[in-house]
Amino acid sequence: MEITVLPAISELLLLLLILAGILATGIGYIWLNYKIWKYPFYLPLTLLFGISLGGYTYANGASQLAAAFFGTIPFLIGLYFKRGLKGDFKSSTYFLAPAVIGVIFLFLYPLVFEFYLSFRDLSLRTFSDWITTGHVPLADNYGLSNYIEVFQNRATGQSFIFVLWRTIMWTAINLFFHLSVGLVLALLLNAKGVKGVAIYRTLLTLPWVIPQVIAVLVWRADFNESIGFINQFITVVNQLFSFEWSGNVIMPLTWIGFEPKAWFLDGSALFTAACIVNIWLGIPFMMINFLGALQSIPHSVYEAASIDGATWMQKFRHVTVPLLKPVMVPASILGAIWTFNNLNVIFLMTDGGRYEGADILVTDLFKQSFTYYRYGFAAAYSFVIFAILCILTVIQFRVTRPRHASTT
Amino acid sequence: MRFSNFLKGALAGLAIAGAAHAAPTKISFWEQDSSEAGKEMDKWISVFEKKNPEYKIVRQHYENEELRSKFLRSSVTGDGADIVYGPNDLAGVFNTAGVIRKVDDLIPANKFNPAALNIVKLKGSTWGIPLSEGNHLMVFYNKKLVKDAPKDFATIIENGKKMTNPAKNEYGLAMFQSEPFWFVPLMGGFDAWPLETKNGQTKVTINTPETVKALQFLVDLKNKHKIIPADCDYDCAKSMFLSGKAPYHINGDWEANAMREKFGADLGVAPLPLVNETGKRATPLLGGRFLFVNKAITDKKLAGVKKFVEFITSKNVQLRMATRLDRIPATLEARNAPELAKVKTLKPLIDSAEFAKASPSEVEMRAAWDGLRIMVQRAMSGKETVAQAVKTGQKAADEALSAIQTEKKTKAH
Repeated sequence: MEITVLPAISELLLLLLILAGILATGIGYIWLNYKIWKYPFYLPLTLLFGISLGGYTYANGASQLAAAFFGTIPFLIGLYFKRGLKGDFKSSTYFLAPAVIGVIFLFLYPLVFEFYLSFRDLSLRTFSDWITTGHVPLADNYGLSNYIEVFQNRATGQSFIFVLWRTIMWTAINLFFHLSVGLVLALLLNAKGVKGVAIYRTLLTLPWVIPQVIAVLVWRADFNESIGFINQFITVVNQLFSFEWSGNVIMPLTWIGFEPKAWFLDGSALFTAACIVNIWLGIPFMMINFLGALQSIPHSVYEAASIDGATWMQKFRHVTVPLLKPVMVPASILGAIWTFNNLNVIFLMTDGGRYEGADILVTDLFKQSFTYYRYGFAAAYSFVIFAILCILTVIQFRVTRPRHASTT
Repeated sequence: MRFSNFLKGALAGLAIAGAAHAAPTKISFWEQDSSEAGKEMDKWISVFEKKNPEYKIVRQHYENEELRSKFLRSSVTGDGADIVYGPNDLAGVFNTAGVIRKVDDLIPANKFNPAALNIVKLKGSTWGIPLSEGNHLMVFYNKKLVKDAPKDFATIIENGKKMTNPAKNEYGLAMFQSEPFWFVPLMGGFDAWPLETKNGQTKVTINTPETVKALQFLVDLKNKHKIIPADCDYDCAKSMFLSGKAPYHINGDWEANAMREKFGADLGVAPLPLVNETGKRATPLLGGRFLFVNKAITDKKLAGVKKFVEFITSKNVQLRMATRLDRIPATLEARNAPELAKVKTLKPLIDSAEFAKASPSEVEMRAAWDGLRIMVQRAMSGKETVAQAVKTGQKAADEALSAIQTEKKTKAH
């Protein structure tokens, strides 16, 4: 009998060997290009090589798309050498080569393949076709039915638009609290004369240090209707601080909208609970980023503002915020993308999708696709999410782009 | 090159070739069982390999979902395991994807309990080799709080009401109340069933008067009889029972050992009780653990798999599995063995299984689970009435079913 771990190690070693082989081939190929790029037959040769490579992969059962991909790459590299590099950036290209090869094989090819799948009817029923023929049937409506289905309503009333709206709300609410509370905490930690900053900083970064899965599972237990801390806390606080006013018993937490409830069975309560958990988890990242940026602002700038008679608010608005912007913009873009695509928190809070009412696009994608092994549909859904994220990122870039003062 | 060097090289080459020739045939075995069961499996594999040195079984453990998706993915590239060991519902997924083979030719059907074989019978063929039965629900009761096993739900309600005190978080019954796996037995008690197959077409049957009655019964346990809390998930129900805050607890055979360790002689185990309205027993779903064989397996490996199946379903191994892991053996020989009757901890599990119905292995059951889950949650939360929730559940299941049952294209492009 073999020890269980051995196959895993041998598989890993084989994978490393394959990766090393790919890397060596890639670097060797680029080196060869450098040696011959000046010759007149260089471009026709890359074209010929591309056609041969594409033809070879197609003959070996690859799809037309995959064959076209492999056929085009050598010619594009040739063009880049001939027109772009012209033999100038030899060392930089050597350094870039591993990353480029990594991107092509680990990102570009899967992306292209996923795009191909999004037009195909790859599901449990067609799986055997793929195994036996190596091809997947084209989806209905010239391959567009997967995309059409993404926008169709679900039986549970969770239409795509509704889930998209919830995802945008989820992103906006989380990002607002991450940025605002993170900034306030960073300002407090950076304030002069605060004692025990190191202790506060350690305590405040705890949510970030605890593994996310563990943190969310603990929070989920806290939100349990019967034995959870949250409901018991609300009950105890209400009992301790309730008072009578105009003949009515006022319970402070209930009065501001919090009352013991079945958090997981009520969709909006579950969404609120998920937001609370994710806000708690996300604040430390923003706080640490802002604190680092705040500490890099020279004190002399504030002194100059003080000499000019600036108030605290004016210093914050005209000194702190502009100097924080180079950190704030990428952090907020990253935060938005992470939150938009945050599968973990929603997935765990809904107990793997068991409870409805809090799904965002990625969890809906997971549920709609992988519960029923609809790989083609999943690929189409992923591309729709990708497109939405691209649009949102472009908008965010444009909104936060620095405006240069006119010099005239 | 000197002749002596050439000779050395040639001899070394011959030795390597000889060693390669004598190397045993590797049979890869993927499973998702508990670590305790994994250790047991290793022992059985060792014994098998000693008896059959021409074969080597390579066991690899995966989590449940990872096992499914990895086997599907690997089947495309031909790297899938030769044997997959897992729960019965794998049969539906793997059979629909066409990645496993029928096993009718590998096993004599009369060797196994028919109930176990029926679980993985799809379209008239058997798709898995049963090693054990189980994964079914039963009633655990605390003898310190209630003396006797509940014969019917009226008894549970009556005793449960006496012991319910929400202020102290004490309730008459602790169960995973919003999970359909706990609801389907009630459906059975009310003569309802989630799947129906006619003329080779499987459909989900949630929206029926019988399901309405079953769901109303569950909702009444919470709203009318108030013997279950507003919401209680798996961990909540288990901890409520373990901490003595509930006299009755509905859970599966997989928790029997943990319960016995906690309560000792004070633990009672009984089959799910009768539904008074119909006079029928609640019917838990009976599953089990099965071996599935890769469709692309080579003849050489298949011979090894057949030997392994014979070994693992032999009386001794089956009995050891029963005594060490508290699992109901699937072979008739082991079930009828006098040694099995001596395993007292197993008897209540077998008794409970008597009233169980085979868990549907059809892939369409995934759609039924989703519809039922939505239905139960909406009714239990009060978001919808029972009648509305049943309709919503049916609609959701039909939508999911259409995603599963998309007609296969005849032409590959």
